[in-house]
Amino acid sequence: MSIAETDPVTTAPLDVVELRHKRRDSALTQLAAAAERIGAVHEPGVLVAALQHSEQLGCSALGRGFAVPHVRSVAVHRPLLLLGRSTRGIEWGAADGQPVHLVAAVLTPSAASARTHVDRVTAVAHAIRLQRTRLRLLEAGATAASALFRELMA
Amino acid sequence: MNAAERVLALCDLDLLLELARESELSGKLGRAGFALAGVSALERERARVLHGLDRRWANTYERCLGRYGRGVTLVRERVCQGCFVTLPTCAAPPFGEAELHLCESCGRLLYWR
Repeated sequence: MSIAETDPVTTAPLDVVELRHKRRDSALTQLAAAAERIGAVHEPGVLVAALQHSEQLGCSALGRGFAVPHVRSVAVHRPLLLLGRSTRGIEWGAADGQPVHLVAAVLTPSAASARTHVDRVTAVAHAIRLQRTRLRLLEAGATAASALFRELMA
Repeated sequence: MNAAERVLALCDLDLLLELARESELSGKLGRAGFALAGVSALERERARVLHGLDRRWANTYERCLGRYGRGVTLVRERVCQGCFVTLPTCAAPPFGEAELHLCESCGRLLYWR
C-alpha cells in the first residue's frame, strides 16, 4: 500500500545549477550533490547510480542540446526539479551527437506512483521543447531562469 | 558498496524496470522522445547487484518484493512506511548510521535513514 503522493510538478521545489563538467556522469554527480545540499536527497551515491541506470535504460538527451534525466528513487525523499546549464556543453551521448547545454532533472520519491513520475517527466520535456525557450533559459540569470521555468510549467 | 546501498540500488532498478515494463507509461515516455531500449541490460545489472548481496538480505528482499510489491521500505521518524507502526526506540541504529532491519510488525525489509 502506498498512500503518499508527490507534489504536482508546478509546485515542486526548483533549483538552478551551473554545470562545470564535460562528461555526463560527472554532471549527474554534480546534480545529485546539489539535490543533497537542498535537502531533497539522503544518499547522493545511490541517486547517482539510479540516474546512471536510468540512462542505461534509455538516453535522456532528447537532441538539439537538451536532456531530461529522470529517476524515481528511494534516495529521494521529496520531489525536486533541477535545471542545469552548461556553456561548454556536455557529452551526453545524444542520438544527434550534439553536446547538451540545458539539463532539466526530474527527481521523484519512490512513494510516488510511476504514472505521477511519467507525468512530471513529460510535462518538463514538453515545457522546454522549443529552441527559443531553451535559449531564454540559458541566457537568463539563475533567478530569472527559475521564474521562467516555473512560468513554463504552470 | 555496503548491503544497505546494494538493497537501495536494487530497489531503484526494480522501480525502473517496473516503469519500462508498463506499456502505457513506456509508450507515453516514447512519444515524448525517451527510447527505453535497455531493459535487458538493466535486468543483467539487477542480477549482478543481487548476486553481490548477502544471501540473507537477498532472500528477504525478494520475499518482500513478491509479497508487498516493494523490496525495501523506508523508516521515517521511527514509523515503518509500509504498515505505519511506530517502531521501538531500541530498534533504531546508532545516530548517523543507516542500517537494514526487519519490521517487527509486518516483516518488511526496512531501511532507516
